[in-house]
Amino acid sequence: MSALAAHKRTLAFAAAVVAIAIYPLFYPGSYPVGVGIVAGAMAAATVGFVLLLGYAHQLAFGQAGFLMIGGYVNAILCVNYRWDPFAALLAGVVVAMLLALVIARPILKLRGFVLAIASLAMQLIFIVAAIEAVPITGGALGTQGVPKFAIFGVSFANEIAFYYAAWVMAFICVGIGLNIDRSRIGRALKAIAASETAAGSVGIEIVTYKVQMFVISAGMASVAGSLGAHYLRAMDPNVYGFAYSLNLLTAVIIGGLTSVWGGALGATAITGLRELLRSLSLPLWESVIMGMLTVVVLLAFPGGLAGAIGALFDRLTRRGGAAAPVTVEPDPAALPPVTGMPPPGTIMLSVDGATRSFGNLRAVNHVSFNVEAGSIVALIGPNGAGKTTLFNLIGGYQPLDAGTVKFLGQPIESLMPDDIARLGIGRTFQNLQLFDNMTVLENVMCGRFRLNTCGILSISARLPRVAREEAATRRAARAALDFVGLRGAGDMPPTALSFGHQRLVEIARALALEPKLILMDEPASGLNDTETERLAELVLRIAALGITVLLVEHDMRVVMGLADQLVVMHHGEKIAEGAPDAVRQEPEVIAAYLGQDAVEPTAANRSAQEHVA
Amino acid sequence: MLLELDRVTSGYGRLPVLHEVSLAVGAGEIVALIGANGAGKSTLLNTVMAMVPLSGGDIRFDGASIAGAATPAIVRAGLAQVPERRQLFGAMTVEENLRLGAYARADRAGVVATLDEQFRQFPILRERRRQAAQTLSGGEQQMLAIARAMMSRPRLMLLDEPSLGLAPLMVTRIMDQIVALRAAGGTVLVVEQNARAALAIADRGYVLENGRITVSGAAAELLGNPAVQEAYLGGQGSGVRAIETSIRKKRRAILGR
Repeated sequence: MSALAAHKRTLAFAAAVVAIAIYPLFYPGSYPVGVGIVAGAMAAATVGFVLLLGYAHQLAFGQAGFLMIGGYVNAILCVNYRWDPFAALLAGVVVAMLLALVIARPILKLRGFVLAIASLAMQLIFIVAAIEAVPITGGALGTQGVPKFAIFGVSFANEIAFYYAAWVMAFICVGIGLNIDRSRIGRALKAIAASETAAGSVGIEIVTYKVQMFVISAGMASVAGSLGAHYLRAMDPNVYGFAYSLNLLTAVIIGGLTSVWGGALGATAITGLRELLRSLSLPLWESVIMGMLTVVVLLAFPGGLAGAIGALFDRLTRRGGAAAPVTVEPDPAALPPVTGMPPPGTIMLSVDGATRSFGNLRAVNHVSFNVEAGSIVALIGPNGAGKTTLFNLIGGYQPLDAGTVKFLGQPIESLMPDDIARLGIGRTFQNLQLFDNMTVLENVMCGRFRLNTCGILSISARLPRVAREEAATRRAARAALDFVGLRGAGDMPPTALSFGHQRLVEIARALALEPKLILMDEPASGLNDTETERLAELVLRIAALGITVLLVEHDMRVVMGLADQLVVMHHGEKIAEGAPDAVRQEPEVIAAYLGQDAVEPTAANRSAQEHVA
Repeated sequence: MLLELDRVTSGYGRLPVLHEVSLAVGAGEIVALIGANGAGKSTLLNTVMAMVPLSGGDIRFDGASIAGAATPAIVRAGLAQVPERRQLFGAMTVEENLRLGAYARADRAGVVATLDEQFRQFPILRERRRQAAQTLSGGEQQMLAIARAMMSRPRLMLLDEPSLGLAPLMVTRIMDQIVALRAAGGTVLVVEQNARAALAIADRGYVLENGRITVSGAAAELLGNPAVQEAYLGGQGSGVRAIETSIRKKRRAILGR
C-alpha cells in the first residue's frame, strides 16, 4: 500500500475542510452562503442516518421528525425563555435523544418496510402534535422571532460566521461518525447488516447497537433542526415534513450509504444542484431533472458519490498487481492454550430432554446427552433427523418446547445467541455466515467482541484506550488467522478467498472469542478431500488447545476419524451414543442410514403410521 | 439413453458440490441414485433441471444437449421433478396444485384427461380434491407431489427423496407407485437416502459419495455390496475413505488418543 493510500481518511477530511472553508470566498453573497448553511445542517443530519440506514440496514425513514424536535425545542427555549441559542441547541439534542431512546426499543423490533412505515408514522405524530399543541408551539403558524445564532453570548449575526459554525458542527458529527466507523461498534453495525445470525454468534448485542444508532442519529438530526430554525428565524410544522425526510434519504443514497462521508457529500450535492436548477428558472422541470439525475447517479455509481471517489482514489494510488495467493501453513503455536479450563471429565455441556416441535412434527424429541470437557463429540444422523434443529436449540437460535441445556452447570436454554457467545461458546455455520462487507481481518476482529469493553461514549470521542484496545484486538485476530493458516489474507474481502479458506475465516472468528466450547455445523461440507483432511487436522489442533468441540457432520470419514463420542439421531430421537467403532456396528444405526426393513419400527414411526392411517 | 450426464460439475455459488459426475438413464428404466446426506444427490437433480448452474460437463436429454437451457424449456422438453420435501402450494387445493403442474401445457382437453388419469392412479387425491394441500398427511402430500409432476406428462420423472419423513408402510406404498409409473411407460430417476427401499424397485443404481460416483451397477448387486454400507457409515478402506485412517493417525499424534 502506498503512503498516500494509507492516509486516505486524513486526505479526504482535509480536502473537505478546505473546500468548505473557501466556498464563501468565492460566493460571499447572503443567498449562496445561506444555501451553504442549509447544506451544512443537512450534512450533520445525514451522518447518523448513514450509520443507521447504510451500516445497520435499519429503514428508519422518519428522521426529519427529530430535526423538527430539535428545531422546536430550540425555538421555544430561545423565544419564550430567552435561552442562549447554543444552550438551546444542546437542550434540543438531549430532548431528541431521550425521546429516541423511548421510541427505539419498540420501533426497532420491526423490520424492513414495516419499520419504514412505522418510522414515518412516528414523524406524522410529531407533526400533528406540533400543529395541535398551539400554546407551546404556536400551532400551524409556528414559533416566530427566533434570534440569530449565538454561542454563549457571542453572536453569529454575520451569515458567513454562522455558515462556519454550522459546518463545524457538521464536521463534529462526521468526526463522531468516523470514530464509530473504525471501531468495534462500526464493525458491529456492518455485522448486523451482513448477517444477524453470525453477529449474534460472536456476542454482538444486536438490539443495543441498533438503539444506540437510532439515538445518535436523532441527536445529530436535532442539531440540524436547530441550525435550520436559526437560519429561518422561525419554526413551523411544514419545514421538516415528509419532503425533508425524502430529501435526506435522497442525499444519503446519492452520496453513498456505506461511507460516513457519503451523507455529507450527498447533502451538499443535492442542495447545490437544486439551487443551480432554481437559478435556471425552469420551475416545472426542476423536480424532473433532479429525479433523472438521481437515477443516473445511482446507475453509474452503485456506491454513491463517496463510493465513486473512493474507487477513483484507490485506482490512482494502487501499486503492484493482485495480492499473492494465501498458501501459508497453519501455525499451531499462534494461539495459547485455553486457561482456566475445567479438568477433563467435567460435564461441559449437558442437554436434558430437549424437545422442539414444528406443527405436528417433533423435530427434536426428548434428546439428552452430555459433552465432556476436552472431548470431540459429533452429532450425526440421516437427513431430517433433527441435528440442525438441536444445534440451533443449543446455540439459542430457537426456543425449546421442553428440556434444559446447561453450560458448565448454568442453564442457557432461555438465553439469546449473543448471551451464549458471551459465555464462551463459539460457533461456525454450514453455509458460511461471513460478513462480506468487511475484510477478513475485520471479520475475525468481530470475534473478539465479547472481550472488548470500550463503549459508545469513549469510542465517539476516540479516547486513547480505544486505540489501545483496537490494537490488542487486531493482534489477537491476526494470531487466530495465523493459527488456521490464513496469514496474509487479512486485508482481502472474504469473497476473494476460496470456499475452503472462507470456512477457515469462520473458524478463526469463532476462535477469536477464546471459546471454551466450539459448535461447528458441518465444517467439512463443500470441501475437497485435501481440504477435508486439513480441516480435520485443524479441529484436532483446536482440541489440543483445550477447547471442547461439538460438531454436526455428514462426512463419515471425518466423523469416524475425529470424534471421541458420537450421538446418533433419527426422526428427532437419539438412537445411539458411544465411540465411533461401536456405534457404526449397531443395527439400528445401520437401519437408520440404509433404510428400515431390517428393524422393528421405532416409537416415532409408529405414531407416524397412526397419523397416516 | 434418455438422459445422459457427462462429467457434470456444479455447486451453489461458493460451494462446489458435484465433481465430474457421469450417469445415464435409459428409456423405461428406474434408476436409483443413493448416498448419505450431503453427498450431492439433490444438487444433481437440481443441476439437471437448471436450478443449479452447470459449471462443467454436459447434460443430454434424448440425445440433445440441455446444458444452458432454462428450467421451463427443460420441463417442456419432457422432464419433471418432484422436489425434496415436496414443495407443494400448501394453501391451494389438491386440484389447484395438480392444474399448476400442467402450467406449461396448452391443450386444455388433454389436461383434463391427465387430471382424471391422476385421480384414477391416486383415488385418495380425488377424495381430497377440494382440500388445502397442507392438510394432507405426509404420504398423501408425496402422492400429490408425484401426481403434480405427472400433470406435465413427463418422459422422465426425477424424484427427490420420496421416502423422506414417511413411515415404513407409506414408503412401501410410494415405492409401489413408482413401479406403477414405469409400468405405464414412464422413466424414473429416483434419489434416495433410503438405499434399501430404492434399490428394491430400481433396475440400476449409482452411489454418490462426497460429490463423486463411487459405485454403480445392477440394483440387486448393490443391495449386497458392502461398499454401499461404507458409503453411508464410513470404513477404513482404501480410496477416498483412506482419509478416515489418516485422520485417526493425526489424532493419535496430536491428542495422544
